[in-house]
Amino acid sequence: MYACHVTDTNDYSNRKFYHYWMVAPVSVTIPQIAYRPSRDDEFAKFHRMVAEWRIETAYTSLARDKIDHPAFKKIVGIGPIAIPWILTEIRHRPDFLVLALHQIHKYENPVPASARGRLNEIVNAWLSWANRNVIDAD
Amino acid sequence: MLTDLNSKFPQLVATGYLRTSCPTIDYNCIAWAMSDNKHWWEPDQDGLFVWPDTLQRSYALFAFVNLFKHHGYQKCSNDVLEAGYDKIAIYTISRQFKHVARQLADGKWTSKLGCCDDITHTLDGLKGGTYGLPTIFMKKAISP
Repeated sequence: MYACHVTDTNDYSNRKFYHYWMVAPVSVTIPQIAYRPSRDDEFAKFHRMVAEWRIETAYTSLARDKIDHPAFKKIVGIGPIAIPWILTEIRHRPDFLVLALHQIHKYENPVPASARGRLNEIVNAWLSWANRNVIDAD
Repeated sequence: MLTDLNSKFPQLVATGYLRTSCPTIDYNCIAWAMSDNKHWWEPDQDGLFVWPDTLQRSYALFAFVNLFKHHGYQKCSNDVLEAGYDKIAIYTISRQFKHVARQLADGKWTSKLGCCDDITHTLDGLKGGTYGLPTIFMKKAISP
């Protein structure tokens, strides 16, 4: 009595006996497995968020409003795995994405006081830090 | 990189504007209002950006007003062109600083749009979008 279909939705609960051609309701428990995004998933998400963030915040006058944007928070939320990707991005296109490094790497600040207010120099300070610490852009 | 200007500033195209520079991250509207095109001015707590040491680093509106007072501006009531004075207009949303524009000698206004270009525009051109409304006007006597 191995019926091959399990989608029978008839209510057999009031029947005492099952005939061979009947299929008893089957309850299947699917084990709950936590979904962990792969590195490729995170990489795709990173680029999606960077593109969205750049478009949405291009005209904002304050860095504070740029880093308050939800897409920026998602970039930071990816964590240290995103550091090489951020380095690649800011090497090719220096911008406020460098501030994600400040937020991910909270205990590191390689930016000298002389770079204050000069975003290109802030980016260069982080790229030099990456070179010193042998962190390759991806 | 003047992309998506229509959606961000609904009145800009209708009121007319002129692009006057290439996009740059070297400076923001605050710097541009004070004729500085080398630094990004902002009262961030990390001290990455320029702010006078003698002023409080705060994002409250008064901190931005104090910055311009520090540079010789005083509050005034309108955007009307006055001979002998430089004027600025601070755009706000819910009493939060969003942008500042500087008046030119012909009565038009100049702005640095975020990380994008400088433009010449009317004050109404930037109203109602990303920057909100011009709610505070300040003026400074032009030094001879």
